[in-house]
Amino acid sequence: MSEFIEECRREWKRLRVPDPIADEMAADLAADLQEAEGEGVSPEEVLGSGASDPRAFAASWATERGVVQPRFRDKFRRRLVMLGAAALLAALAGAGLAVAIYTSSQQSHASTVTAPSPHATNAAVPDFVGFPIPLAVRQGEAAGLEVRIVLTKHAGLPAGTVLAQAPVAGEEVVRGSTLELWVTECSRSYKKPCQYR
Amino acid sequence: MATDSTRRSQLLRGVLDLCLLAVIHEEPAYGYEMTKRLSARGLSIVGEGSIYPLLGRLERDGLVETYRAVSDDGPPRKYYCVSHKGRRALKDGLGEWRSVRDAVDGVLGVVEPEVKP
Repeated sequence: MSEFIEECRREWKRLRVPDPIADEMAADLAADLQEAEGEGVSPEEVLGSGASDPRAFAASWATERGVVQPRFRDKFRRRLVMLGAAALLAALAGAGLAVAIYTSSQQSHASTVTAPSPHATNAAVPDFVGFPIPLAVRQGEAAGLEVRIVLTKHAGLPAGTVLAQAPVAGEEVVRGSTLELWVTECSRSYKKPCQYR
Repeated sequence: MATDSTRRSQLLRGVLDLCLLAVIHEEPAYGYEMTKRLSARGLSIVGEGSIYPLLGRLERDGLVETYRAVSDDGPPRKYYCVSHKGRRALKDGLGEWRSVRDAVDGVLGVVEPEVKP
C-alpha cells in the first residue's frame, strides 16, 4: 500500500503538482486504503483498474482535478494533436479522393450541428500563488470562479498567503468552477469563512 | 460485438458520475465510503476506472463541495457533498438517463432470444 502511494507521489512530483495538494491527495488515499485493508477489502475494489498502474492512476487523478502544471499538460496535448494528425493523414491516404471529398463535406455538415462540449472552456485560471488572500479571493471571484480556502500551516510565510491553488494557473475552466486556495493561517482581519479545519 | 466486460465498462463510463452524485446526495461521504455504497447496491468498480479522477473532475467543475471532518474512527477525511450546481446536473442527468433507459428497454425489454446449448 505504501509503495503504491509512494509511486503516486513520485508521479505527482514529476507532474509538478503543488506539494500541499499532493500531500492532501496522498493522505486521503492512504486513509481510504488503510480502512479498506482493515475490512479485508482489496485495493482493486477501492481503486478499480488503477490499482495495477499507480503512475497512470496518479496522473489521471491530478489531470482531472486540474492540478498538473501547464508545461506537462501542454506537452500531453501536443502529443495528442500530433497523434491525431498522423492518424488523419493515414486515413486520408488510405481512402480515395472521392471518399476524401465526401468525408470533407460530411465533416462540414457535422460541424454545423455538433452541440458544444459540456466541458467547454472560457477562462484561464490566473496565478495566485504568493498573493495575500483578500486579493486572491477578489480576483478569483472577478474571474468568475467559486473560491474556497484550505488552511494549512507553513513556517516562514506571512499569514494569509496563497501557497498553492487548484486548478493551477493557466488551466482553462468553465465559469463558476471551484478554485481552491491553500493558504497559510488566515489573518484576523479577514472574514471569509474557511472551509477546512 | 463488444465483450461483456467491455460493454459493462462502456455503459458505466457514461453514468458513474451520476451514481457518485446520487450517493453523496443522500449523505456526504469520503472516497472509500462512496465505493462501499456503490458496492452495497451491486455496483462494484473492480476492473473499472477508479472513482478518484472522477471525483477530481466533479470537484473541479464545482459539482461537489468538500469539507474535512473526523470519521468514525481514524484520521480526518475529506467529505464530498453535492453543490447547488451539482444538484442541477444530477437532475438533468437523471432525466437523460431515464429517457435513454426507457427507450432502450422499449427495444431490448421485449426480446427473449432462445439459445440452444
